[in-house]
Amino acid sequence: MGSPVKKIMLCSSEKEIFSVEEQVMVQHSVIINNMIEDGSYNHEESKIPLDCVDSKTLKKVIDYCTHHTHHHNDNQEDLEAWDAQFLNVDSNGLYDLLMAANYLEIRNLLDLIYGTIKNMIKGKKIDEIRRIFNIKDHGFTPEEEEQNRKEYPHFY
Amino acid sequence: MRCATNPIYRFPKPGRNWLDLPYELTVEIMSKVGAFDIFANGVEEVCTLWRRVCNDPYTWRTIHIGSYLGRGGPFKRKLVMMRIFDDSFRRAIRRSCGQVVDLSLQYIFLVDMGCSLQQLRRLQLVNCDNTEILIKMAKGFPLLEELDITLCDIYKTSVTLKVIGQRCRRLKSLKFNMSGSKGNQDAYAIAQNMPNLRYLKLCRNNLDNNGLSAIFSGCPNLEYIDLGWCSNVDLDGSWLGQEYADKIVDLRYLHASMEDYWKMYDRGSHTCLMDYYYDMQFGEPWDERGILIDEIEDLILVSEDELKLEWKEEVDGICEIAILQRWHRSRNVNSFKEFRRYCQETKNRKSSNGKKHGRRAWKINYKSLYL
Repeated sequence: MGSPVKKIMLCSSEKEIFSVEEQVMVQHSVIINNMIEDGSYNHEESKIPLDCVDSKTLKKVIDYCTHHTHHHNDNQEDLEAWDAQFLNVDSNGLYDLLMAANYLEIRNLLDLIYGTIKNMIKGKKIDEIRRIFNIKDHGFTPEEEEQNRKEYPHFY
Repeated sequence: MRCATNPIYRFPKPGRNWLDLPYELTVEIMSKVGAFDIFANGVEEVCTLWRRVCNDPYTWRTIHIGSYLGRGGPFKRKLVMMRIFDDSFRRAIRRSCGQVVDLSLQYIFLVDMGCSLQQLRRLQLVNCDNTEILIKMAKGFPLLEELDITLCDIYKTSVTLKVIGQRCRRLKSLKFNMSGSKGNQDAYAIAQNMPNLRYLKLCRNNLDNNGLSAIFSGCPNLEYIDLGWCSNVDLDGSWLGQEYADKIVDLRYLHASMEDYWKMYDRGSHTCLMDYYYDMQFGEPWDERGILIDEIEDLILVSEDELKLEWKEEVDGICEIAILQRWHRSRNVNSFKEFRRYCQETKNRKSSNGKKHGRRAWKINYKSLYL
């Protein structure tokens, strides 16, 4: 029998505990990598508290890391298709994922999310963008807004 | 920012407010969205925060402008797009306050940017016009490490290379994919002025074995060299091939890099250029529009105020000049009379030849050239 796969515990904001292979997280997350390397994580008793990541998002992030660790040899198209499926979430979900990826410093996931956001913004009218991203208070005074609309009607 | 005590992390609201996103993340998003959408689609007018972010030089460290404009389609549309690219480029440069690190341009009519780009590390120019101005600008970016000039028309490539080499002493990577000067001039310019080069790609250059050996002795750090479509180089049985085979980590030459060329071709730059020339030759007979070369000289200098004009009305300005310049220069015609005569000749040739020069070039099956 080979040596047992090392596991680490991640604790979400709802205090739910997720057990993940150490290799998976170390490979993707800079912050967890640093934690393991400097020895501040004890495999017997400690768990890593992630207070700003809820269970649903954490599960998705772990999904992403696991898939990309185990399937990194797949051909590019399959991976891209999987990524597209993975990021098929509403803007709230995307926001949470972005915050989680930023917190854990997962570079690939961040790039992926930025790309998705870029595609959401590209070629859209301003009103549409405000609706998608739930921007209610745009901060312009009514006069400025009025003037903008008059000046650039094709933006709205 | 990653601190868990920040209340927005602990109590996420049911509907996320994207305005609460940390500032750096918004900067990153705007940087990815890019100049074209920010200016031409009004993304910066979405809210005051986004507008502030778009005015932050930090957002403009990476500027990528221009995209493949597609084969076919109305020529006018291309001109309009090029005008928008131009406009976005100038505004982006102005906002970057000279802090830009990575600059990648396609279909841009280059102008003197007015400020030096002290931080610039990477510069890519594809299908750009007025590239000679690099000679003037080169002293503005002393930290340049990567330079890629693809499919631009430069009148005297060797002079340009020489000046760039003298100004940018840190240049490590040079890609020069276009037809250059006659003979070995380009190769000598590289050999004399770019001693720190590690990566070199010269496509469609006229250099021969002498030029190549000059490059090898002038750039001792060279690790990768790619001479695609340089038909004058002959390494079979030459001492050069044996001498440097072990010294150069990766030496590719002649048709070896056809694959890359094919990729470039696939991506469109090359197709587009052919398309472009085709349109210029046969699409719209510009020489009958009555534009005089003398007038053009004055129009080349575009002032800031002119930028504020509606681009739609200005389309016939800049882009046409750019095209004329490119045309003018590529034929090495020096006077207006000569130019006219040349146009007449081309026209006659066209009618006798059945006008298919551009199309035929397009139809060459590049795959059949794989050896």
